[in-house]
Formats: sequence, structure tokens, C-alpha cells
Amino acid sequence: MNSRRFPGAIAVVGGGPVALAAAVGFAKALPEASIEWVPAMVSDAALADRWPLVLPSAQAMLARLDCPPELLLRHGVATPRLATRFLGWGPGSSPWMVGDEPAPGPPGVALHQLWLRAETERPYHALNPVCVAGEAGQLAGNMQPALHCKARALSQGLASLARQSRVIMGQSPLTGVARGRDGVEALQLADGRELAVDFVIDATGPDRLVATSDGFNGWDDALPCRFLWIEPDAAAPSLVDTYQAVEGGWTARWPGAKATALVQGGGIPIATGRLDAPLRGNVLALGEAAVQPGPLGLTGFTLALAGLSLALDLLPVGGDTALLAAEYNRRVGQRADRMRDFLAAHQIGLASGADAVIPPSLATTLAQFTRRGTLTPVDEDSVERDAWIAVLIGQGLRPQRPDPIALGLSRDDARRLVANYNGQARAAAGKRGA
Amino acid sequence: MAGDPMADRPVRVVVVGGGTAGWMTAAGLVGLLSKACTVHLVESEEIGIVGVGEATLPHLRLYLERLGIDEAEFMAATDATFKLGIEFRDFGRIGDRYIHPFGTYGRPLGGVGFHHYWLRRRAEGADVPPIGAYSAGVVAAETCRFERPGTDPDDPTTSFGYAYQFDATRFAPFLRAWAEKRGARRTEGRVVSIERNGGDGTVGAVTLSDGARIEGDLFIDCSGFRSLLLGQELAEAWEDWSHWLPCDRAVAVPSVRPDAPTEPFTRASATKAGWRWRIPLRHRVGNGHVYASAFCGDDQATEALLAGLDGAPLADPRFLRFRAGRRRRSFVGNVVAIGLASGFLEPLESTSIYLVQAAITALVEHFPDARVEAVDRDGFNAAIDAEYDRIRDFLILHYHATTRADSPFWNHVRTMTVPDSLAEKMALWRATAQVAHYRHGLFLEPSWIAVYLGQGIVPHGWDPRADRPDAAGLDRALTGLSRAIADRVGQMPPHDRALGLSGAGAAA
Repeated sequence: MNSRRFPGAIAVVGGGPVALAAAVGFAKALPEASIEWVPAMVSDAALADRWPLVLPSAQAMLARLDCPPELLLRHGVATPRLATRFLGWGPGSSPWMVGDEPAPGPPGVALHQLWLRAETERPYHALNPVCVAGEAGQLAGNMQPALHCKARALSQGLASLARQSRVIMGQSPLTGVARGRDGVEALQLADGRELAVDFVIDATGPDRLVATSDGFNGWDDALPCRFLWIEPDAAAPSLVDTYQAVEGGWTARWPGAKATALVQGGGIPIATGRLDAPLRGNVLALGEAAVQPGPLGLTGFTLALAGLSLALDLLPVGGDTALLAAEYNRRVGQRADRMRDFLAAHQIGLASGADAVIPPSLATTLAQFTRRGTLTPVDEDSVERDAWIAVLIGQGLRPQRPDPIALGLSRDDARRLVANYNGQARAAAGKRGA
Repeated sequence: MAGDPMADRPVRVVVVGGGTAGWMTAAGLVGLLSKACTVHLVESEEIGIVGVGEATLPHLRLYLERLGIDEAEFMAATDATFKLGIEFRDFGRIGDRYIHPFGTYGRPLGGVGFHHYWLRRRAEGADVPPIGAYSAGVVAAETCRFERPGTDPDDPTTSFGYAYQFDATRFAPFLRAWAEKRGARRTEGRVVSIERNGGDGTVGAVTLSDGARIEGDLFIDCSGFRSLLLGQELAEAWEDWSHWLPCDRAVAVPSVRPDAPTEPFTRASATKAGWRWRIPLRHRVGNGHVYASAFCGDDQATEALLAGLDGAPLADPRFLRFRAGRRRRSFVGNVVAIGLASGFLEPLESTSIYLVQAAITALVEHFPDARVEAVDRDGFNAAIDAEYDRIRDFLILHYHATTRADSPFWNHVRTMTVPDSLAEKMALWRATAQVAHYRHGLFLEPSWIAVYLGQGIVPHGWDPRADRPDAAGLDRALTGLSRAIADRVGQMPPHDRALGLSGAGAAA
């Protein structure tokens, strides 16, 4: 009958939330299969595992794991983030912000085009309720923040869900991989056991203990801040992450930590880039085993959840998976490259990014934006369109020409509308007065 | 660019050619960019318009809404009827029929698409109806009923899209009146010469047969198949797709509408060397036969068309010649070709007007100032490339996905090598029942499912999670859903009543 079939045995290798999320996801999707979690060391460069941040675009995947955002917030597993603030980043001394939710705008004309038409002193982010709320330190009930998860607590929660989903929680780490003509046949474990597998998920971060680094395309030339220092930080938790440009790179305030990323120096070396085929044979690389976007914005866990979500939709496991693998690799590849472009776009306002290479696809995006303030539609993106616009405007990019639709409004009308949207943003954030 | 007089003044747009493309463009520009441009349209009554693009897609509603055009006024002016999809007959196999609706089938269950469950039960030999029974749009079309869809996208009994079938010869005059009222200028005359600017070779002006000279900054070529500016003057290369889409002729004739309910769908019936269209309007029926001249003569095609009419012809048959393909770029220099001047894809899926609309949207999005830059052209051309390529593959599927071996034409299209992009999509579907996913483009997953299944490309594999539910429970759910849809559609008024027509349909 059905030529597709379930795999019998799946192993998920990795020591952090990426692996455990994958184990829970596959266990829920395939209760017939035997799913075994194989622990592994989490390397310092596995940022998705160490600093799991979930952008709104990936939160539906968490809900599929029975781990919805409100549950994580309620149990203190996650703290909310509404926006990111950038200091000294780009021309001028004014800080600029990127909201984690898009700003509501008028029908028929884009909000940023209206703002550009108004030529107002008000910063663009003042029109976004989550940015205003973030600055005010007030989280309104109807806002969907990004989630900064505590890695250890998230792992514990996911491990508990994995047990409930009948994942076999192995104790013995990986020591070797037995490969055959058709892929990985078995995993060798420290206790001497040989675990026969039909399908393996490699969530071991950049170590890629199973997937290998064949076909890895580096992004260091586009994302040059490759050395990361992380120090504990006792500052009170904030609804806003702050990034500051410094000589040779940037620093960031994340919950409980101060991060510094530099072009040169010591610290944790981060090799950004992605595998051209994260699903190869019967091995699916997930998280930073598949794509390492680097520390800026902590986007790795969001990409990992997007990859997991697509894997669970397509279910490219068992039997003849080459066609599904091609579809999977096409789509996650587009998504990863789009994230690379988004992060590379941040180098524009960074002195240390002066020598960064702009990927051709980003050059096309920038050309269209600087001409008229529009963004070319793409099929796969984990970042809100509004965040793209905020990043480009924040770094001082301005379209050469006014938007022809916004031109239909007089400057005074545009200013009135901008003031209205600012008032609405303040009201939504619980602030009074315009 | 403050202070640049070229950048600050409104762009002088000259539209060459009236007709549907020309007036849709003129109306779109004066409606959306009234401060950014002036619009001057040149058309010649003696040239006439093609005007057989009578069937549309739901996107046209967005165009009308964006311009603030009242639906009832538009429908009355163009004798429009509602359209819920296209019925294809005899494509996959003689005797087969299916409706490609504007909407989805069923709803996903446990994260797995509805069609996977349907495929499973069908393969198990269960007595399941065709997949159309799980689409409110299909059921309404088949029973000639219509009402506007509900607002809950998750309710399969009320979620579907709709478009219009209308008299294309009346659409352009309707838009002309609308656009002229809002400042579009029209000049009657035939373009006899095109003036190029020195240096960059852009077009500076066109001269008409009466000697009038019209200057512009941006020229929109809506001259139809002649492609006066882009094809003839700028000699933009032609990308030929006729090896995949060999139909290159059409013969059209209107006929008296039969004394029967007005169908809220367009019909495409395959013939020995192409296909016939039938588009029911309020006042008549539009008919045509699209065929490949390499496999069928004009007389033979006309005979096949007339033999299939269900009412007396109202005019002499009219012939059209075309070639499937497109100009390699639609925006060259300061010339943008929109509609048939930029390319032609046969009207099998009613895409002609959609492509005009997509080009207008892309033009508004990439609208230049008086100095057209390469980045304007690049952005526009990239948007149009994606539209054409994805539609092309979908159209080729209609011919290639067949078992017909009853004529040289069908033998050719059945056995031809298709573009790799299509071959990969078909292979994925056959093996896994997955549709290659794109967020943008005209035809998304439900459309591909409709044509694949409608034309007999049945996957041998589907999502194994669909094998899980027990058969009896699944059958109960399937039956419940098809009944709920049938009941809900049964409460809709007949299409003719929704149109405000009396007569056979209203009494149905």
C-alpha cells in the first residue's frame, strides 16, 4: 500500500535543548518508532543550546512540543524580550531599536514609508508598541515577546517531556559511528553498546559528531566577529537586549550575561556557516550542526526549531527519502541564507564590519531598499519584515526616492498619522501622553 | 534626491495601447500613484483589442478593492458572473473531469494534510468520493450555487475563493471611464514612429499617424502581441516555450446562453489537439478553441468549436495567433511591457489578466522617478520572472499529466521532456504526496493537488501518519465533512439568484 513507512529506530544525539526538542518532536510524531536520546557534551560554540532564544516565528513549534510560550514564562524557564536596542551602531549617536513584533500600520501604505514621508524627529521604533513597552519596562498581555530560555531549565523541561513521550533516555555518550554504504548503521556508545539506527538526528552543535562537516560553507567573510567572550552579569533582567558597537566588534547584554564578540582575539571561536545538505542519507543535522549563525541576535535556536518543524511536516525518514531530503534542504537552506543576510546587514553600521563581504543576495536586497525602501519578497524567512526594515533604517539607510504611494499624502498629513501611531504605541505600552 | 528637478516632478507615463492591459495599467497608476505620475494612454480604435480574456482569478478582486471600485458596479458593467473554479474535462483521460477550485480540500488533521488521509482510504479500496467532495468551492460549482465565502479560514464549509467571468470587451471601456475621471488622458491614434533619446537609447517620444508627438519618461507597452516598443523597437529577445506549450492558435465565438442555470465556473474541455473553453456570462456564453497548428488545421479547429456549442453562435469565428513564451526581460530601458506585449501563456488557467495585474503591482512597487535606474528594472524583472516560471510549470503539467494516446498532439505532450523544475515537483508528489512549497507565486498547494489528482497522478506514498487512524473512524470523519459541506452549500442561493437574474437558474 503506502510506499512510505516509519523508521524503526531513531537516535537523537546531543546534550542540549536542540537535541531534546528534536527527541520530543519525533517521539510525538512517530509514537511507533523507538527513539533514543544519546547524550553528548555541549560545546561552548553551540550557542543555540547554551543561549536558546525563541523568536515569535518559531514559537508555534514550541507549542507543538507541548511547551507553549506561556508555560515557559509561567514556570520561569523563559524571560520575555520585546525588543533589541543598538547603541553606537551606525551614523549618529541615537540609539535605535528592533521590535520582536511588527508594528501595526495603516492600510495601503507601509508604515516606514509613512514615517519617511513625515521626515519627523521621532525615531522609527517609537511607532512600534513593543519597542515603547520594552523601553518602559512594561509587558502588555496581548504582546508576543521573544523568549530568552534558561538552557538548563529548558533542557530539564524538555527531558521530562521526552520521558513522557517514551523517549529512551540514554546515559552513555557517543564514542563512534558505524557507517555503511547507505549511511549510518549504528552508534557506538561508551558503555560498549552498539545502537542500530534507521535514522539519526545530529544535534551536537558545531562538533557534528555524526553528520561530519562535508559541504560546510563558511560565512566568516560576511560575519567577521568570530571570537566570543561571555561573562556573568548581575544586571536586573530587562525586556530589551542591548547591543553596543565597540572597537573591533560589539558587546551585548543578554539575561545574566555580558557578551563580547570581536573580529580578532581570544575567546570562543565561532565558525559561522551552514551545511549545504543538512539532511544527507539517514542523518539530519539540526541546530548548529546544520547552521551556525553566530552570536549576534542569538538566532540559532530559532533556526533549529524552524528546521525541526519542517522535518516534522515532511517527515523525511524511513525508506526512500532522497526527494524529501532535497525539498527539506532547499527550504532550510533558503531560510539559513536569509538569516545570514539579515545578520550581515547589521555589519553596515559597525566599524568592525567595514571589511565584511556583502553576499550577493543581500546586495540585491540593499539595492532595492536604498532605491525605494522596499524589500523583495522571499519564500523562507525567520525574521519579521518589520525587523529587517528597522535594522536598515536604524543604521541610517534611507531610500533615494520617496515611496510613490506615500507621496499621495501631504507632509503634514503624514506627520499627523505618525503622531497618531506613536500615540497608539504609547497607549498599547500603557504610557500616557504623546 | 531633494532638489533634483527630474526626481521631484511627476513621472510622465505613456501607455501605448488600450485594451485590458492598457486600461488596467492606466487605472492602477492614476488610482494609486496620482501624485507620482501623469498617465497618457494612446490607443487606436482601428487596431481593436484581443478581448477574449474573460475568465479571471480571485486576485482581480484585490485589484478592484485597492482602487475602490464597487463590485456590483463592475459586475453590471461587464455582464459578469461569479466563478468558483475551472472544470477540466478529458485532460488526464477521455471521460475524466475535475474542478480546480479556488480553495482548499478538507482541513489538516494532526499536522498532516487532508489529502494524505484521502489517498490512504482510496488506496485501501474504500468507497470515498472524489476529493472535490471535500471542497465547498467544488460542491457549490457543481450545484450552481453561490454566496460569498465566510470569514473563518478554518471552516472548510465556508472557506473558498471566487473570481469573475466577464465580457472582456466591456472591461477596458469601464476602466477607461474610471481612469479618465481620475486624470488619465487618452489620445486616439496609431503609433507610427518611436523616438529614442541620444546617449542612453531610452525612448523619448512616440509619434502618431496624425503627426502628434507624445513625450514621456516611462513608456508602458500594452500593444498586445505586436509588442511595439519592447519587441519591435528594443528587439528584446524572445524566450520560446512552444516546445512545452505547443498550442499557437485560438478561434473564438460567442453563443446564445442556453435556458439553464448559469454555471459559476469556466470549462476547459480537451480536444484532439488542444482544448475548448466555455465561459458563461450573463448575456451570452464565450467559447473558444485553443489548438496547436502543427497538429490541427483552422477549419478542423473551427468545426470542433462549433460542434461543441450549446447555443447558436452570435458572430463569426475570430482567429488569434500566438506563441507560448515571453520576452526575456519585461522592463528594458524606460519601457515596461505589460500583458501580451511581454509574453503569452495560454489561458488554460485564466492567467492572462492575473499576469497584467502582477506586472502592475510590481510596477507600483518598483516605480521609478523620471530617471529610470537599473535597480528599478532588476527588481521588476525578478518579480515577473518568478511569476512566469511558476505558472509555466503549472500549465505544462495539465498537458503532460495524461494517459491520452489518441492523437499525435497528446502523444507529443505526454512524452515530451518537461523542465527540470517541473520534473522534480512531479517526482516528489508521486513518491510522497508532498507539494513543493513556495510562499509566493500564483498556484500554491491546493491547486497542484487539484491538477495532480484530477489528471490521474496518484502518489504511491503518502505521509505514514495518515495510516494511523482506524479506518471506520476515518470514514466517519470523511463522511461527516462531505455532508457538512453539502448541507452548507445546499443553503446557498442558486448562482443566478446571487446574480440577480431571473429565469432557469433562479428557479433551480
